[in-house]
Amino acid sequence: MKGLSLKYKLFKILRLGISYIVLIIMAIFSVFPLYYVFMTSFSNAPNLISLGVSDLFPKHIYFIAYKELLTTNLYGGSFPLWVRNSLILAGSTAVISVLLALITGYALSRLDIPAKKTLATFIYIVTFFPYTATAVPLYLLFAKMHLLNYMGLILAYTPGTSIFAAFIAKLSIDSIPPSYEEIAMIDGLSRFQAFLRIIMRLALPVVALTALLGFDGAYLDFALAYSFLLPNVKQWTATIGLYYLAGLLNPASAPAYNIFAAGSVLMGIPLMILFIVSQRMMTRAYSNLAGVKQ
Amino acid sequence: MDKEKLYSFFYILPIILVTLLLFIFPVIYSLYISFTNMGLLHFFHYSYVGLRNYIIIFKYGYFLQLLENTIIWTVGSLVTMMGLGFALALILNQSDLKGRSIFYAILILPWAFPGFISLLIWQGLWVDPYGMMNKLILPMLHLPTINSLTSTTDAWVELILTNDWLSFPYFMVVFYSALQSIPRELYDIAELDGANIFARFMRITLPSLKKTIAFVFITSFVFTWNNFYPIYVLTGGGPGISTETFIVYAYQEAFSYSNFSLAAAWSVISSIFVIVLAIIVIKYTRILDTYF
Amino acid sequence: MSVKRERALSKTIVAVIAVIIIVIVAVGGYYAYISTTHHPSMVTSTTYTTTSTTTTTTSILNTSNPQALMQLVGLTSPPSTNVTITVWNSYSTSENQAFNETLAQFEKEFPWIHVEVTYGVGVGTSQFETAAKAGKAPIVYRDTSDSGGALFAAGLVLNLSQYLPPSIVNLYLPTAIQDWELNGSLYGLPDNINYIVMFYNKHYVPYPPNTTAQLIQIAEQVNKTYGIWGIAYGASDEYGYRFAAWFAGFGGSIFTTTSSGQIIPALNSTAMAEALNFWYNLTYNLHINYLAPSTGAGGAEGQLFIANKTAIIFDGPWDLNAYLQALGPNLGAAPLPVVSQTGLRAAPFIGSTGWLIATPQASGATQMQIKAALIFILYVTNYQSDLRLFQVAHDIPANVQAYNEAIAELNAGELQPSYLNQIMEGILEQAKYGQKFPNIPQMAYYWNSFHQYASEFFANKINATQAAQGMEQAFIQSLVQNGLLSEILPLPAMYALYLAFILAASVLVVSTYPLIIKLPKW
Repeated sequence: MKGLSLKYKLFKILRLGISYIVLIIMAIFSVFPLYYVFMTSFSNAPNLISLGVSDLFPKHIYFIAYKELLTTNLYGGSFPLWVRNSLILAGSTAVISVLLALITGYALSRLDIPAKKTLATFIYIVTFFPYTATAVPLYLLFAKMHLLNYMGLILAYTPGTSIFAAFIAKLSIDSIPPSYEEIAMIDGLSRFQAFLRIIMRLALPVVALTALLGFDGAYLDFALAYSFLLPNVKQWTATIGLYYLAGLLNPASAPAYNIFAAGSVLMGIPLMILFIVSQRMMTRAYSNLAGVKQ
Repeated sequence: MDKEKLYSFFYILPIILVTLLLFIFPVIYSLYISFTNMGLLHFFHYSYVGLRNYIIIFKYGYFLQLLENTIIWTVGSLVTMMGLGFALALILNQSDLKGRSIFYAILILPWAFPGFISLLIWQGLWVDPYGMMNKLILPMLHLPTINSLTSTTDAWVELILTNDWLSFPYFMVVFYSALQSIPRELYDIAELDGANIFARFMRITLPSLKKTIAFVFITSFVFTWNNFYPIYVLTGGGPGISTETFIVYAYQEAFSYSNFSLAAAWSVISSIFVIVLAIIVIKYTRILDTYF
Repeated sequence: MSVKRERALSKTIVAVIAVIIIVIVAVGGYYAYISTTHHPSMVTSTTYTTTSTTTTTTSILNTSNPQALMQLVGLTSPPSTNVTITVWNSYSTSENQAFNETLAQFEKEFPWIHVEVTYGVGVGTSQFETAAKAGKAPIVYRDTSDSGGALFAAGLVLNLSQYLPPSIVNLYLPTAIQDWELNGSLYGLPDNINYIVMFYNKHYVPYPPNTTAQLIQIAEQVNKTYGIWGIAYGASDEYGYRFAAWFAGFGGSIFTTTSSGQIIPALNSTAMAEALNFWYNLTYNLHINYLAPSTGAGGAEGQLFIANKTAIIFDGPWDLNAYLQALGPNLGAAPLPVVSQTGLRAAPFIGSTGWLIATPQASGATQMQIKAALIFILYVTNYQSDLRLFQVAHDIPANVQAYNEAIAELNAGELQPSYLNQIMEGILEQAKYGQKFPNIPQMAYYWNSFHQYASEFFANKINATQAAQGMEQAFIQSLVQNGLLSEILPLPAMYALYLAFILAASVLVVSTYPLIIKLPKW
């Protein structure tokens, strides 16, 4: 018995030891590029080539990159303005994605819809078509409908997230007993009111996940936003602006690697915080995937 | 009852409209373009050319090379990403491990940080010999430097490592969520039965995760197959077309060389592949059945 | 229950696959039939019936006077309502300083034309094409002469010969304006001449090398003495714009004309193999050239040059300002050297950037907007505007008067700072040893063919001979695909291929069908 426990203890030490080593290596791997970009944003090295290893452990911190990023005015456009645009765009996309995902998830879970599964499968498979197959036709269609603007972008961003999220929402709603709404509906709420008050609240993790993914997708998209919004510099999103300020859009423009880094930090850190704050919710939302349906 | 049916229909209507507008219409349009000669020299006035574009693809189009590349990219990325995510989820799921939440929070950072910015950062990191990866990290580990311009193998290593960095946290989170939802009693009972750690893994952990793995595998398979940003940003498909996948090639044909019809044909071929493969997997794992 | 569901799923799946495949096969087969009966027409070059507005032109055109400009486009007085034109501008930061001054001046002189400018567009962008497809292209666009030529061949930009008197070409240097003519039609007005030169750092390079032997010698010396790169030339990142200079230096040319007058590629030559091997040798054997992953002042090449980590780069005057700021009096510019093996100069493309007007179909512009656009592009390429571009951003003027003025300033040593005079002299000397930048539509398919095989060569996948063969073949294929070379496939072979494809598709359907219907349970 004692031998067994010793063996068990040794095994435990070994197991935990290896775990910690793996975790530490992976943690360094995860953090390094972010640490690198963070430090670069505080350096005065204008380009990649002149960045030295010593810049990763700087003696001096420079704020020129941030100053330039925040004060540059490009014919009426500026980084703060573009961030504001991005926030409006991403916020609206998140709200609409949540509504669409939850309504669809609710319908798939609760309502009696003919050929429900066929429909769901079909919608799901349709999202397998690549962006390259849909990009040109979408642009032409949206141009014809006078939708080459924020409205159009929101419309274009929404389904990708929502279809994926609708599946998770469906699973999540499955696990809420129908009796909750039935009681509410007996109390005089309409089905839609019951949906809003009961389901939205109980499926909060899915709501959070959908909002986050929807926000993320819209906040970070470059290709579509660029083709829709290019002509008006005041309407640019932060992503387009960052590309431009970093000299990636028009190679003839003056490039600055530290400005790119500063922009990355300003765009990335808030999103990162949002992610970490909502990670609990996300974990719970994804755990629906493992749930067993009776 | 009819009123109820109609009512249900309204719930499902938005998604149907959106699907028709944003997926079905463009795909049919693309299919149509792929049978025309729409391109720079036939811009407004194009005509039907039958299967010409498909013939070009099979005759001249490096079809097999691109298929091979796409498979290397998809399988290489998926296996490493899922393996890494799964291993980390298992490690984090040990109840006697201290500081789990700290590690968890650190390890999801790559996912939390905007992906396209990360790609640009990685592009800088990989420049040989000036990027930090080749200047600092690899020499520190006594590994050879990686230059995607001088070797195809290097290009693949660079691409897949970067893609791993971008995506392993997603798999870790999903698998960890699933592991957490396995009732602890199951393990306790098995332990009483004298099952060792390996047996418990095989008998409890894996079966409980089957659904999650299958679902994640399909979504990620399709996503990786269709994902063109990493390749486009890091190697541009180079050297030559050595790391070019169907999608990257189609994208470049359309947006760099204005061969719209040829690009559409490549997209159609790629879509057929991924959909047939995905459907076979869906069918085999019966993953959607368990959810409905 | 589960069986029923299963069947429902099977049905969907079968339906999805079957629909996709059947549609492809059916539509494809149908059009295959159609297209064999109506064989796809080869290049149909649209001939325009010229209805040029014959304006009463005075002997010398004056594009600086607002009244004269209006007359030139057939206006006697400003229209009663204001006109808005949209402009996509691809200038660099320093060029934009000049442009904005010009723009302010323009708006003062033409208060009835409102100009909406989009900054930050790259040249050669597909963005213009996508927008044109939707009829949303800007009315005025600035691009390089070669991609402008492609846009013209595509029918996206206006034939200016229909709107402007022929004497307009006299306003511009022949080298510049010739780049904007295709089949006798003028499709744009140039605002500069551009080409690459050799920039060197005088701190490391004692004298500009005149031959490649000297180039190698100096680079080796620099490499040994200072421990920095002799040259930074990203030959593997090349699409063939700069490499064309070396190819010419080794005696090659991109196109040749057959006896029947057809223009065909001529990349598969010993000149190509030798040029490739030359740079391979400098890179891999002598280790004096850095195979940079990106070009230009913002790319790795320029960054190294700015950071004093390479002695020599090949770049154009559009990046001059960045290097001037960084290197100051240490900056030198000279023509590319003579290739020692052949005794020929490495001859860069002499290209030009300029202003184009989109066709009404592409932009939706009204006739009045076109007139305003014509006034605008004449104005931004006139003497004052072009001279300003030279003085602020050091672009080489395309306007004759501005060019002469620039040369006069240069000869008088009037440029500030004074060392700029010598640099500009070096840059202008290169113009003597250039080659015409082909702007025929065929050229659009050169870039990628070259890129693919050159980069595989520099990645050690293939040897130089294979690379030369490969790029030629790829080039020919692209031309055939786009109807610019006569079909190589004989018709019976076409039939056989159609048949094979349809057969393969049917086999696919038949073979997957039972698999989908009856899959083993997991």
